[in-house]
Amino acid sequence: MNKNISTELTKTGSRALATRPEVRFISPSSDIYERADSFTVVVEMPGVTKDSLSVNIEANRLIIKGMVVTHPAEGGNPILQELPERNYYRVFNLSDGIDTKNIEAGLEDGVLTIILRKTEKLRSREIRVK
Amino acid sequence: MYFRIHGYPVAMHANIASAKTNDGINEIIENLFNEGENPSTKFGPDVNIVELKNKFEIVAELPGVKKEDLALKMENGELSLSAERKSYDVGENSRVVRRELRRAGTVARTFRIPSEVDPSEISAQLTDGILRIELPKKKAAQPMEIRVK
Repeated sequence: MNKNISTELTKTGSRALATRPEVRFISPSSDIYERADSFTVVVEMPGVTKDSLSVNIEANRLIIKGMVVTHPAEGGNPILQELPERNYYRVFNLSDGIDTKNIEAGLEDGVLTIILRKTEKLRSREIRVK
Repeated sequence: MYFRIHGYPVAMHANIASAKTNDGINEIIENLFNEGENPSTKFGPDVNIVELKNKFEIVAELPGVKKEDLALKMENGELSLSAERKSYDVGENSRVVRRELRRAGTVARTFRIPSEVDPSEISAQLTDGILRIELPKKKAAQPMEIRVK
């Protein structure tokens, strides 16, 4: 599941632009967990595939953009519409405590999981008391 | 029509016939797929339902849910959906910095299916967190052109 995207940090997601860009963008909900040496960001974006997703780092900002590829059937008569059509876009500001060269991201079942490693200085250090 | 909480029928609502007339069309659209007086959207996933010439389509968002965590049942004219959402928590020795996502647990929802649907032909697909249920109409219920000699 984990895919090292350090080589894909310059991906612009231009393929994503082909899928319904006129549909509005909303900010997807996300959880953030912290461990001793890393943060985990979980973002829910149902309907987004690896091809329609772009994750970029630009000057200490983590930029997530996902286009929804599943569309309602053509020519249908809506009976119930609780889900608006939308694409996803969210930006996280990263402190310099994050090692931006070493980020892992994986997308599964519409859920994006990003692991951000902390730099040396942010990791908890045990202080020995003499 | 039943409104169910935890599987127990709570209220019954008369099901409107599926015959369509111009007068009753608004009422029929409101009652198709209805769950009763108080829809259980608190527990169930949000859905879109669309009617096409030869089928209905239900689309639900179930991010993070895998096929083995999903149960779809058709019984007595009712389609019930139940999915287990797993926790994303990364385990011990971790703390939550931000919590926006719905907690882990079961989501469930039941729909009254119109009689035009052929229950034996219902199929479903779960990909990228989107569940798509296809409910084909019986052949007799599909619009047919009548040729005039």
